[in-house]
Amino acid sequence: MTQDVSLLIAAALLGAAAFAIVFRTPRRYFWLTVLIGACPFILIKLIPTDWNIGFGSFLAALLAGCLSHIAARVTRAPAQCFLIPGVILLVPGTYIYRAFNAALSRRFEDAFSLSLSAVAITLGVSFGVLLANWVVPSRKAL
Amino acid sequence: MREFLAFLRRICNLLIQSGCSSNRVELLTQILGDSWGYEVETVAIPTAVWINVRTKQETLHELTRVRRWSIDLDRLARLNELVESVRQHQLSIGEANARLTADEAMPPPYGKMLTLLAGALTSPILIFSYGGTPLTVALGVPAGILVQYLNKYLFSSEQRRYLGDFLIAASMAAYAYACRAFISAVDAPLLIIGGIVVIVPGLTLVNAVHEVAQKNLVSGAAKLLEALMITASLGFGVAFVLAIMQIFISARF
Repeated sequence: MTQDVSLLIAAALLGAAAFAIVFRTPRRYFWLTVLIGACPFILIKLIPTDWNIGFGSFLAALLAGCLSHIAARVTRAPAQCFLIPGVILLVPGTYIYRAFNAALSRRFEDAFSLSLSAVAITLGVSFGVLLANWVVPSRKAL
Repeated sequence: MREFLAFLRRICNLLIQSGCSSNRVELLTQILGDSWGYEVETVAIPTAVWINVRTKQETLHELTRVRRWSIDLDRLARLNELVESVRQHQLSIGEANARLTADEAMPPPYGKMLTLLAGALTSPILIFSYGGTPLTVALGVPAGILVQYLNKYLFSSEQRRYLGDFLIAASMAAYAYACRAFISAVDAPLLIIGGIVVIVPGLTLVNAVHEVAQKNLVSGAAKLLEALMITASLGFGVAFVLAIMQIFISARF
């Protein structure tokens, strides 16, 4: 279990670091972005699998949003710098692809079910980020 | 006033190009207008920005067309600092325009090799998070490098955008099924998903819903359509390789 958690934390940190580089996070905020980006990924992996998938994504996005806005207030940088590398690990890319692939293979029932999961995650992440704007309001326009 | 409008046009274009949301761009122009004594109204969508600057005597309009966009957080942070300086009148509009010109020539914060290495890490980590075996995770490293190279350097031109997505997905599918032909334990669909998920428009979809939720209906709808187009290009790319494989297998047996 301890090994699983350490592996999960390592994967989360590496994933956030990789996306921070891919999205060209400013060098001076790199480590802070990595720390903030890893938290929602760890949270969503620790949420029990029998919970609603959209609700889990909502909680993780809310955490990412709140941490990003706090970091933006402290550093005076745009919240997006901290938010995007964290949220990218939550977005339903795999569900979108699997749904499209199922539709192409004429497995319409699977395609419908996967699309609904993608919609649930998308709505969960979007409303998590929106609610974070209310919980920790932006200090600046960007 | 004309200089101020020209500055707004440039900064709006750069902000949308760097991945800033439409509602933030609209809010920012309004704040800048208030601080310089102009009434500013802006409509921003992912492909264009209309700006209207008004005083009691004069009204000026400007349109800027945005032809390409991606996420560049480093530039976004620099633009944020510039806007703050202009808002607080620490910089004149002329100085701000000169800073924008210098900013456009600045190199990216991370080199090509580091970006490719980061791309190489994203795919195996995503495959690991989907429950892939260590072998599939390991095969995700070259997949990540391939996708990152094709996406960032080979097919980065706007004219080849959807064709690029199609070709990336097709090369990923070819790579995954070639791996499976040699090692039967490889989970080819998972390898394909891990490879192309970096360009699957999940973030675009989330941004689209975010825009719609903030009543930016046109911008949200445009982003939804973009997400649909990219998904279709990727899906058809994989389906193309699968169809060729089927023809090849049925001709052989």
